[in-house]
Amino acid sequence: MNDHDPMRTDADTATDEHRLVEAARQGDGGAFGQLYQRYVDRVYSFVVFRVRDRTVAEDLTQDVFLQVLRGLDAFDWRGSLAPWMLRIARNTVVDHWRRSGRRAERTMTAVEAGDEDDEDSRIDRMVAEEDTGILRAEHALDRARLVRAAAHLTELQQQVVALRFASGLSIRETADTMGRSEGAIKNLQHHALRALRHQLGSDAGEAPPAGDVE
Amino acid sequence: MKRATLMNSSEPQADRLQEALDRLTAGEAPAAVWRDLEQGRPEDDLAPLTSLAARLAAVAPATVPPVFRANLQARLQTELAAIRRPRNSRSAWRRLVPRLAGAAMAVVLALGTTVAVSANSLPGEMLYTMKRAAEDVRLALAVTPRLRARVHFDIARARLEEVQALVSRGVAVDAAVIDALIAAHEGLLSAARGAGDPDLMASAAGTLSRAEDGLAILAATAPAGDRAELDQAAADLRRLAESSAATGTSPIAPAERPRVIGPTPALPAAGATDTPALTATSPLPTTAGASGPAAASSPTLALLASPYAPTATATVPAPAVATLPSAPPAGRPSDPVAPPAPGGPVATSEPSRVDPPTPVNPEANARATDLARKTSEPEPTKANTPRPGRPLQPPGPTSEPPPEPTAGDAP
Repeated sequence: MNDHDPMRTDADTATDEHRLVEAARQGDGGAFGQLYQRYVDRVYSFVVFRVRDRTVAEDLTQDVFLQVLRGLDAFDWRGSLAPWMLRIARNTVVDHWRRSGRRAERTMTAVEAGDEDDEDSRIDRMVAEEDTGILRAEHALDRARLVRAAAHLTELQQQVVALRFASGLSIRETADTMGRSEGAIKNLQHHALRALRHQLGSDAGEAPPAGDVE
Repeated sequence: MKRATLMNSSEPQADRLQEALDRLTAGEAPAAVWRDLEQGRPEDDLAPLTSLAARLAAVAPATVPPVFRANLQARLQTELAAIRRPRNSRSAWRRLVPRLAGAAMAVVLALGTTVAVSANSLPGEMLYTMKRAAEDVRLALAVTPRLRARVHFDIARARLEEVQALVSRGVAVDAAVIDALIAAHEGLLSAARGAGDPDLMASAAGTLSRAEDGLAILAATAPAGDRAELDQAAADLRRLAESSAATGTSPIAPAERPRVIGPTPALPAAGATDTPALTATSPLPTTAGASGPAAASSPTLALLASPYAPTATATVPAPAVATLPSAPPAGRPSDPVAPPAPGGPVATSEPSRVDPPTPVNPEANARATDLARKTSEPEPTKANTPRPGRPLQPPGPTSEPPPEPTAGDAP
């Protein structure tokens, strides 16, 4: 994300970011603060998409940034901070699932976990507590529906969707984050969207007719 | 199917899908993109998938709740302060910021109000170096002479206020503090001159005059130990103002200004050894330098007036010399016909040159230079190819799937 300024090039952003990283490494609190501001929403978006619980997402986001802080020295600059940071986020979520007893590769449906109602109300709470001044109401509801449907995807599919669309990473960055090739990411993306569409159609109570998203 | 997704080479539909997303991201009209997608096999459903992706891109990004955002930042700053040592720092001021009181400092940093909070700092306080650094930044950012003059005004006023605050708190006035005040006013004069604006020059002169008065008042009520320094400072300012007004040349470079702090040293042929009353009342002519007999009774003044005098003598300049508008009063062997250098060697800086913070403050100089260096040094540009698949913008405020024959329902 280029700070929403269409005139900024990716190269500008990368240069700025490199400078900030170097300064932060040397203890510059202001530089670290800027990096934090740039990434906190992206990390949070990824985490909240994956865990579907705002409180947990906040805790995990904090974990991620503490790890970032401590690991900054060892971090190898390779053009962007995003893949490294989101990899930490991804691993933090996986660790969370392990701690709470869910295996990573299982589909994480609410029904399977046996707490569908809790999950729904968590999502609703999450949506309700959002500042809907920022997010239009229909987007908020839409997000809830999409997030709920995404829970039925495989772990890898959910990761790709979260990284690509919640955190806004590119194919390249997503591939770096997940340690896979760009081709594999595109495949995952394709199948994730297909599965999601299918799930949304099921949620709506009917098989999706051709050409119909809902 | 699962195996296929992990293969490194992408399936053709996956490529086409991503390509469509790239086109949307690049700002291409959705209608064109859908049209092309529909050229393919209908069962691929690429158009609705693309639309779904756009919808996700629109609604999936979340923002952190504001309270959480602020709290986490504060926590992180505390951690940062605790675990990281500033090292290899090229910026002198950062070394001087004491690493301590993590919580207070961290909260201040986190709220981004450091500069505002530091604005009331006094010499010797924790955030004072930050205050000075902020001034340097302002100076470095002031690209025109007028803007620089403006910043110098603020800096000069800040120095005066600091001295006033210190005295009112009973803190002993340090020579460095006085030096900084004088330097700030020199910088102001220089900058005002550099801007070439008579109004600015008049304002600068007014500022100096007010500072001089302020110091004199302070001196009158200050403890005895500080009185001499404060009066000295007032005298220096007056001299500055006079030399500047009379000749339009630069004031004495600070390095050449002898500082007399504390008890005045005994001088040969010194008359009165106490300067205070004298400087406040001596009827100095408006021309630069001390000329005339009044100078004689002020040994320090004479000293100031002619730092390069062969002997630090208070000998009265010959009346003949005194008639020259701003000839150096003491027996300076220099050329009377040369452009008058008020009371000393010609300052090295020229009127039109607008300098960064004056040399008496090497720290500040280093800071400004560092900043300039940092903002101008070329960073290696990473050869990032334009990224495909940037966050998509949906085709329109609500991401309706365009191919939808019945577009009645919003998604």
